[in-house]
Amino acid sequence: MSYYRHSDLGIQSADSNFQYSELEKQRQQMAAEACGHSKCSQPQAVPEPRRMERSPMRRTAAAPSKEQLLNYINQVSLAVYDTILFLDTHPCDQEAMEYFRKHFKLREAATKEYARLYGPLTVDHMNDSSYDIWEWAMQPWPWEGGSC
Amino acid sequence: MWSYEKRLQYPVNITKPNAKIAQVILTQYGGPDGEMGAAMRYLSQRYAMKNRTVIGVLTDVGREAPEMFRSGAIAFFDAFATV
Repeated sequence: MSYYRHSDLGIQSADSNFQYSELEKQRQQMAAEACGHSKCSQPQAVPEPRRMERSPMRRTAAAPSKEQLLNYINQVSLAVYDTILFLDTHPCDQEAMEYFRKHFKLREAATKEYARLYGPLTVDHMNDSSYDIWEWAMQPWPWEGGSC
Repeated sequence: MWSYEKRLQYPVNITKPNAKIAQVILTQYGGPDGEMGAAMRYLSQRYAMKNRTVIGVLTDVGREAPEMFRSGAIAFFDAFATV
């Protein structure tokens, strides 16, 4: 059951006849069979997702490892969060503003890159993810050994 | 209000799950001096604050307080799930 229709929100579908590719239909069918419910697919029932066309190169030899990239994100995030606290009490400090802008950009680029290579860290980065399934919920959470 | 980031402020690697310690950590969640209460206090104190910069600090610290128990959450859940 849906609680709202797209038309209620003024969103027009670009193509109402949009069809998933045959591969996608096949994948959904496999998932539905394994779970026994047409609207639901268990994580273990979903086969390896295919790559999306818009990011054909998911990983290259030059790409940083998951640990390296996460470590870098931890570093720039600390810089950003600490500068936020400083700027709260020093709103006119131009040097701090510059520091914030610089590290905010670095953090944005790194989290985008992480989403592209290894999956989204926040739902905001779902669009940067390379897979066509809902990786946000499918990938392991921190207490399951994911991204830490 | 806040958004979840699949990332720990500090990496946690539990080698020996301990249910007793998990109990203590649980009180840091929601006990009288827990992070949840602290975050709520920071955020509600903002409404009566005269100084704008302090409102900013309370917002950001209140936002970060529940983030601190995230590493506690990992410790708790790992211990809870293993024992």
